[in-house]
Amino acid sequence: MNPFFFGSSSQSLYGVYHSPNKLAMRDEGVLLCPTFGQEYMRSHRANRQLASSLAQQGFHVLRFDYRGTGDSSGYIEDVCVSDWLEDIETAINELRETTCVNTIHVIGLRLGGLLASAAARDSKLKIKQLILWDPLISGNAYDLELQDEISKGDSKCNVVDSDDTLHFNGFPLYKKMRLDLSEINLCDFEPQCKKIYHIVSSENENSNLLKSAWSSRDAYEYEHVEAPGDWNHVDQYGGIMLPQPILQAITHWLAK
Amino acid sequence: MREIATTIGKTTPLTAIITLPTNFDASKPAVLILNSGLMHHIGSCRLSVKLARQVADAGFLALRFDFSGIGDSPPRRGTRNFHDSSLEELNEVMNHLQKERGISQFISYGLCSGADASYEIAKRDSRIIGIAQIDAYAYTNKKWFIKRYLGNLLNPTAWLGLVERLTSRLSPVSTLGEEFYQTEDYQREHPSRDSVAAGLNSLVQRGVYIYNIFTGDTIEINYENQYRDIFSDVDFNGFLTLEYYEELEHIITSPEHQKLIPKKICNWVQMISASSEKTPIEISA
Repeated sequence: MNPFFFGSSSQSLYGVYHSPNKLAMRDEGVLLCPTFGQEYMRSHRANRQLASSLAQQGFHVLRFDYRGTGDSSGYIEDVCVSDWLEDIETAINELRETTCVNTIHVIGLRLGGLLASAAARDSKLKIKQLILWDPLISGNAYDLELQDEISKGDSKCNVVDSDDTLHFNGFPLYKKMRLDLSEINLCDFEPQCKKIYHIVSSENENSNLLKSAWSSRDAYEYEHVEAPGDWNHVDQYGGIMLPQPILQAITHWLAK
Repeated sequence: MREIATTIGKTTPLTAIITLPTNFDASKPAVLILNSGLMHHIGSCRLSVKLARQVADAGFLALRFDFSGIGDSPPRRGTRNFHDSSLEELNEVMNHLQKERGISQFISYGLCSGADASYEIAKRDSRIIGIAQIDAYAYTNKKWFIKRYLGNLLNPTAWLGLVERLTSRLSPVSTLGEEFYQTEDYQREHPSRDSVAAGLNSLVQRGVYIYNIFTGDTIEINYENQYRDIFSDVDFNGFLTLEYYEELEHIITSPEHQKLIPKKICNWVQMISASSEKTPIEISA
């Protein structure tokens, strides 16, 4: 594991590079696009394990944080969705340039899946395979999901305030970000990549909608792997989630 | 202010982020920001990042890092428990900053298990001149019981809560696969009150400043100055700053407190750093 900052010095991104197992080295890189908020905290270990497991299979792997999140520069109130899409591009270029791999695959978890798909509208990124793990199918669906959680009243800090900022489990989504996200709906476009692997931990209305929208694609593969996926849960002690069957399924799918 | 990703140690290094002030001054203490439970080095709700940037803007080097096996630091081989390995790794981190940056004084900050580690390292290492803890070791007392139980007798909401708790015991419990959740191998155990009192006494005698913040989620604390009452046998002599936020959650989800707490800790860091002589003064954060 090699932690480092990359990108422009004023908008630096934090990344962790996992070098490939030399005995199985491939000419392929994998970028992991994280999710957001407490989900990001809970999935950090899972992302690290997934990265290690893929590196063991010979892939060059890069994990990173979007601007205003994690260790990357800035604060959430200063960034918008176009910044995050730009960050994905910057990270892909970083992975490509530093490792000299010809092929790039991108994995996105939840919001990371939505963003990675949106970034993949640009064919210049030359993403070969897109792996969407419990992806949000649209910004609106995400907003509604969070508002539904807020209505349960588990925490007085979970609110939509008078500025239309949605506060959930300690992380804010500002009005601008919510509006930006509301313009992305995976059912309305097809990412530019050779193959899509859509993996879900539990099936619901949204996962079925996306499956219906994309199932006519030649290279679309859908799999339901039973595992926990209660991403909106939060506990007092930073309990993290390790859905091993999903990590194994993704590794197996990419390595086959 | 500049952030630098680095690794500490050779064989199985620890991952750290140094936040370097624009005008770095090695004579000022560095602020060490520790993990809380299994949360990685950005801290609960990114609080550690905000704190590091604020103290760096105030001229102090801040270092956030992951203990081995947590966040971006790989696990190290060995049979030591977290208590022992965390102290050894803290020592390693301080040695690194001392050697590489010439810093000889440190302030340690942590929430929950990070608060415990801050207290434990301060007892052992004289380079620590201050500890800031959120939800440190705490104990109930007589007044706590009175407030907790007598106050509830006439409170209909409390009775309703009791009924809900009793009925929920009869409800089905979630069977979501526990094997998918990683629990801490660090089980938080409170040492005896007497041993903590002895520890606090030794810290104060050495002139270590202590800033304790308690949230409303600390079960053992339910009123403002309870910590002083619990440790009435410790002569804090002005070295303790104590705050209690009844409405605040343990993982600091409130946006107001996410701004307030780093600011208060930063003010406290500046003040204790400024008091070069350990004159007993009440520090107001």
